[in-house]
Amino acid sequence: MSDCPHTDDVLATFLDGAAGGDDPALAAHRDACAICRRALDRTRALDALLAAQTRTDADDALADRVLAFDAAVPTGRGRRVTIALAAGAAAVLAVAVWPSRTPPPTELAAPDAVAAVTEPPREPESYRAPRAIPSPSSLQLVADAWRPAASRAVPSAEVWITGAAGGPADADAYRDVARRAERLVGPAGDREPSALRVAAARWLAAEADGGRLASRRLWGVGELLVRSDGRLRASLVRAFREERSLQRLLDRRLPGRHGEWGARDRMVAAAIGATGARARLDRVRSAPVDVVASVIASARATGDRVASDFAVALACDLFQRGAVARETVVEWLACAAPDGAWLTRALTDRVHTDRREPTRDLCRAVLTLRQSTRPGVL
Amino acid sequence: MREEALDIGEPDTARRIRSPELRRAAGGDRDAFDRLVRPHLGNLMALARRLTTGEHLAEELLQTTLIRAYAGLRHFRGDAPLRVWISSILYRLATEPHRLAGPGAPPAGRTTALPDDVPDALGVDPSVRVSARDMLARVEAAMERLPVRLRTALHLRTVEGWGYDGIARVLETSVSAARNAVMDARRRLRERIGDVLEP
Repeated sequence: MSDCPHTDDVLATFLDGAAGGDDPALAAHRDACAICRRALDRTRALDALLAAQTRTDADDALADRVLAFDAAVPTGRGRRVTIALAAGAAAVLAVAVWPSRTPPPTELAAPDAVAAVTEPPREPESYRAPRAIPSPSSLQLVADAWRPAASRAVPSAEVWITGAAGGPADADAYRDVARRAERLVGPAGDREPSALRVAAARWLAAEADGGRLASRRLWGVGELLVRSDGRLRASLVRAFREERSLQRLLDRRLPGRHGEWGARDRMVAAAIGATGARARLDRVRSAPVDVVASVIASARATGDRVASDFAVALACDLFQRGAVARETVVEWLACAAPDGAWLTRALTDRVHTDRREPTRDLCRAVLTLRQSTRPGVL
Repeated sequence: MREEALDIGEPDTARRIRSPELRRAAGGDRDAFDRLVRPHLGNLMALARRLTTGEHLAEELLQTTLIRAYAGLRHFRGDAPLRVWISSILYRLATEPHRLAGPGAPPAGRTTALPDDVPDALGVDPSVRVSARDMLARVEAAMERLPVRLRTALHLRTVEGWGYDGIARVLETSVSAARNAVMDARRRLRERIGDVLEP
């Protein structure tokens, strides 16, 4: 094709307007050289094709979708205020979990003073485990598995404190702190995503990373993640994906297929699903089927692109290995979800990209079922 | 001469820096930010589509880009048009998946070229007369085989009509390297699908 040594010069000059356009010698060469002429014609045709076929429009719906992100992204002074408030919130939370043998402080401690407190990690006596997930035997079961109940949809200030502490808190003992925390993180039942809650969770996790905070508080943040929903969940998921300290929770050792899966193990698995941590898929793929069901349900509860891809990848992996029946996978993925657009798209992608026909067929079946149960989902 | 005609043609830097709209957006005014970026969404989405495998991934990539742009707008120095600056964020996010979804995340999409042994959707038999629709599919398939850097450069040049200085900013390279990237991309495409490009 490019056998002529002048082709690049011709293209650069007559296509891109490089210097030399008025060079009569080059123009004469272009007219005389069939190779250069053909390259020029083909490249012009290529450019025209690319320009013509590429959509560069954005309708209002698309614009609204991509611009529909949390307006509370910190910038400039607002960020400093947020950080300061977050530190205050964290201080409130840290005070809330002050050891019981320590007299309750009359004033809120400054973050640095709180951070200096070192307490050996103590396992909570009664960890409030997420609701256990029985074996998936029906669509309804999976659909409801991790759908937050009204009572735990959004943690109230007291629940938040409890979660951050990693164990049950005595609400009476911390009533004053709870009131202050409520002023900071929003009233109980407030469904708005509280940036402060997330910032406080990050702060707590960062402290945990430095070893100054009992690791049990990290469990609390994880619990908050798998119990939350809506935009709060989305914010927490983002925090877990970005914060190395929070990812420590996802890297906790998990039992194998025949091991004893405790409440905490299940919570960690659900947190892996909630974040859609593809790199950690191997850690849950060998879990018992009921745990995998909860992981997939948790990923679906997050429902964004990454988590949906994770749910489909995990389900297809189990199906390919023969670990679960086709009907079970269909049940896991087909049942109606409040916002399953990303799941539908993940399934569609799998239909187009997976090289194994049984898996493609499975995904087609799920899509068909989803379409039949939720008209217009495709 | 042609170079200038193809350039992005945005207001000069000083005017942009003084733009009250930009100052408001940098100060955290979401409405101002939306008004600033909305005219560019179509072109940004086109680039996102070019770098990902599906519409939803493109949307995800674009939204993440906008979030980063909004959060970092106060660092925007104004030495490049806003669209170039946002495009460079988008390119970095697409080529460095861990920035998009955290460590260990799968690639966002077509950030690596397809191997050559994967057959084109329509085969490469030049004796087959292809329809216009098939031709587009051939071009698209050939684009997928380009390394992401070349693909981005060619897209910005041919679709967006950018000058090489803007492309160089997005690719974080020199103007001459950007020019070479476009030339290289064109050469590869000609070699692969030249038979369908005869006018």
